Amino acid sequence: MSSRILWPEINKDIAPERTPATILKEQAEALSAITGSTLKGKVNHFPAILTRDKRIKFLVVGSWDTKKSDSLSGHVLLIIAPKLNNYEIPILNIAYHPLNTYPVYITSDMMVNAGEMEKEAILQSDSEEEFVDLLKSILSSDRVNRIIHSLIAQSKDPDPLYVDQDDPF
Amino acid sequence: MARFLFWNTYKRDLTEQIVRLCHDYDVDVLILAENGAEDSKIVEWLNRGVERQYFALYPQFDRITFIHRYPEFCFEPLFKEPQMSSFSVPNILLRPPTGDEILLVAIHLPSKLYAENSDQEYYSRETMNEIRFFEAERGHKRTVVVGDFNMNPFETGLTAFDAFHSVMDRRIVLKEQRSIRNNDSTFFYNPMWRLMGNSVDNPPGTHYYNKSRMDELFWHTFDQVLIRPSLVKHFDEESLSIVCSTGGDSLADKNGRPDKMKFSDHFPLFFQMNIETI
Repeated sequence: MSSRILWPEINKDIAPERTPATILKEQAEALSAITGSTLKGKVNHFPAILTRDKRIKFLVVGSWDTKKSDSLSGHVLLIIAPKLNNYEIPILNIAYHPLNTYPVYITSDMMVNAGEMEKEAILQSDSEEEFVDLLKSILSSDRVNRIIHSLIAQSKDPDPLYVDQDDPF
Repeated sequence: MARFLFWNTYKRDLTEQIVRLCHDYDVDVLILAENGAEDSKIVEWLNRGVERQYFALYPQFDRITFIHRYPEFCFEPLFKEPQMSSFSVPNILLRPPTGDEILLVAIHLPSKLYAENSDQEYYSRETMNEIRFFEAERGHKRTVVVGDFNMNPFETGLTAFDAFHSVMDRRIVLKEQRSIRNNDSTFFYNPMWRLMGNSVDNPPGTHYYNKSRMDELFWHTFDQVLIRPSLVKHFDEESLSIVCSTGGDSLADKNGRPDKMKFSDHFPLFFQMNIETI
């Protein structure tokens, strides 16, 4: 009896999918370009889980949680100020199943008033297009804009608190 | 998101474990009590192969070591002038590059081995007097108190109206304060209540001590973090944890208690707060 191929028919011309992490990395690199390298973007990767109260929790190496098997691929987009001892501020977190890129889950303090942890809602994008739209609304938000300008200003005067304004010399 | 780690290291040089914890937990602010290692050694080890440099706060306080990785100008120790009393608690101003300043207070109150309950309550009141002094001076109550209180969350020094006045319920804390006989006292939120006793993810306390008394608790939650009402919404409840391992190494002995033969008689305490967007 001749052997039969039991696999499904495979389309070898599938366009490579841009993962949410790839899109974040592109934006991280773009920040360096638009700020003349005064600020840098960075994407950190951690295993993550969705908590019962619908938040993305990143897992610490060696913690109890890393024993859980349902972990997702988690990523954090950070803004870094190299002249401020590489000070980092996270802008948003994403998490998705490593095998099913979408839906991607997103949380960001930039979208809630005054960083209120309790109100931090989890958002969901079901496609690349939706994710890019959401990303744009976060990155162009007032809060992110204020943070970027504040960090640029402090990077040009990295020791502002030591300036004695009463001392003319 | 600022990440804090507190550890009473039992006068041991636990540099290796401290460095591993800081790197595993991506710690921004490290606070040590009974630190038996040179600050400079810890900083040097922490800074090997990392982009964000750690700094030891200078001048340091007697019983507490502060190490952080914010730009140096973000941390400022506060001292009463000129040493107004013999009692002094480490008060630090932390001004992150983005966000408002907070008052960070580190505690290592006297041990039950050398102090009666009444002594501990006295020290709690004195500490609060100092905290209120600096809150008035700075004009805000964005205060976090962390450390080894050598008292449990339910003891008078932690709960009394005229001491730390800390309670377990965020909803009560968000009422800001209460009045008794025309005196006001602002609450602290004490999230440590949630971590006491057996649970899946945490040991029953931060410290184990068996004195074979009639009334014996065995486990104690002496290491705590207290948060003023204005910071409660910035506190990440999920992050609060009693740490019992560094990487692959357990800080616990075979009975799950702090391994004081190898490391410390206390477990470290970790939490994070969203102070960048206050």
